[in-house]
Amino acid sequence: MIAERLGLLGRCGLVLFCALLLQVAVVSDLRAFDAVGDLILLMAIAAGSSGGPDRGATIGFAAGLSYDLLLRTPFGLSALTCVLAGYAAGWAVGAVREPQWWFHVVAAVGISIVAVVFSMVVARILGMAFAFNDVVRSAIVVAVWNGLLVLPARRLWRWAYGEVDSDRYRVLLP
Amino acid sequence: MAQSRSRGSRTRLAVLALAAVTLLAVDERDAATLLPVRDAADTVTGPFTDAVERASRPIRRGWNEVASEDDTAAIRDENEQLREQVDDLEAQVVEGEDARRQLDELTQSLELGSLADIPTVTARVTSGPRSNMSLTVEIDKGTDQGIQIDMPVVTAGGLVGRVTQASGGRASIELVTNPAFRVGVRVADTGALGTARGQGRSEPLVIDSNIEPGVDVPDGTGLVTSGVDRSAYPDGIPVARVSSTREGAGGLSLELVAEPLVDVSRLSFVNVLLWEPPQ
Repeated sequence: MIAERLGLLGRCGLVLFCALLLQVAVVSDLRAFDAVGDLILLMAIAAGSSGGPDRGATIGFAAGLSYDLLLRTPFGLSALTCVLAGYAAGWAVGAVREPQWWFHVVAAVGISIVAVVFSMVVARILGMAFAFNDVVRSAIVVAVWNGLLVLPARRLWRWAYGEVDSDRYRVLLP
Repeated sequence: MAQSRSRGSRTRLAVLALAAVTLLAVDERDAATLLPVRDAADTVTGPFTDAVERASRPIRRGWNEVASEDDTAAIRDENEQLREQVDDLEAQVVEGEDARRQLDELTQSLELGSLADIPTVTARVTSGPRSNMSLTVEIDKGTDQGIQIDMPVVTAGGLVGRVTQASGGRASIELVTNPAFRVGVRVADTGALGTARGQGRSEPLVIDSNIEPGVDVPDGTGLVTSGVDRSAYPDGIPVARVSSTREGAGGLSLELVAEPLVDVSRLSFVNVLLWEPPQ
């Protein structure tokens, strides 16, 4: 039981650490329209989308907090955004009976846009300033990245949590 | 059963959101409280980040080449304009050489330092802004090379920003475009003073000046750091060129809008001036 729990923690930590390194060292340099993708937000949304609101909020908090450590933006802002985004993704998927693959993509795009706008509004309240164009550009670029990557990211979380993929399950048990 | 699970979920959400808001409040009250934790995280992840950065360099270079293809036409136009400017500048070089000789003589006689006397550390920009809200870049030199917080950072083109965080072999640079960035500037040809502030990514700087409304400040006028008493920057670093003017708040002074001389979105190498303001 303890070994199982440690294994789960190790796999989740590994996924988060890799996402963090990729975000900081690679994705942050892949600029499109002067904005970058947000793998950390993606991981929170994918965790909620694959495991429900509890998992989304918990993973979102851990992912956001570790990202906050490496940024020079208000500490806790990424954690707050990712907690809410992860929970919202889990809630949205849970509200639909047997959601199709496209529903996860649409949910990821919508939640990403709201999350980027939310974090920039909070940052503005805390004294940071952004041009309106920056908010729009960032929201669109993050939404596109997350829409494209949410399905593989969901698979990654299923692997981390040792869950059987539902599609494969159907093939095994007709 | 489902109801109690749902209540448990909401409780978890509330606890985690509250924890994040508490951290935000602590950071807002005193950012220095959490600084050691952030520095430690940087130090721990630094070697891994460096390794991934090195390994992914071809991917990043390829992406940036593709992304910049759209700019080809704009670059061609810019090239034409630059050729014309070179012709103009060549004519000014002779005039400038004489002025420089006179300035050198005057500087020596007054025992004033100049920018060229300040030692610099050249550093490679290892990563751009790490998120869409961040307007800082990371460099591969730090306190081991004598870099300290608040030191000015420049390129051959002009001011890039200032050091906001430094550890052994890494440092963070706050860019001039950051809305929190402030620098005292002087209009190069009239000597009028002002304070330049960033307005965000890809946005020009805005300068609150002491110039009276109605005074003509031609577009293209250069702005340099003012270096006034206790300024955080030495005198004479080129900062921006005026692109337009407008009446400031209250109509008592002129507000200048200026394009930074350095394109901070495409930095490869920067020079950190090992300079600290006189106490």
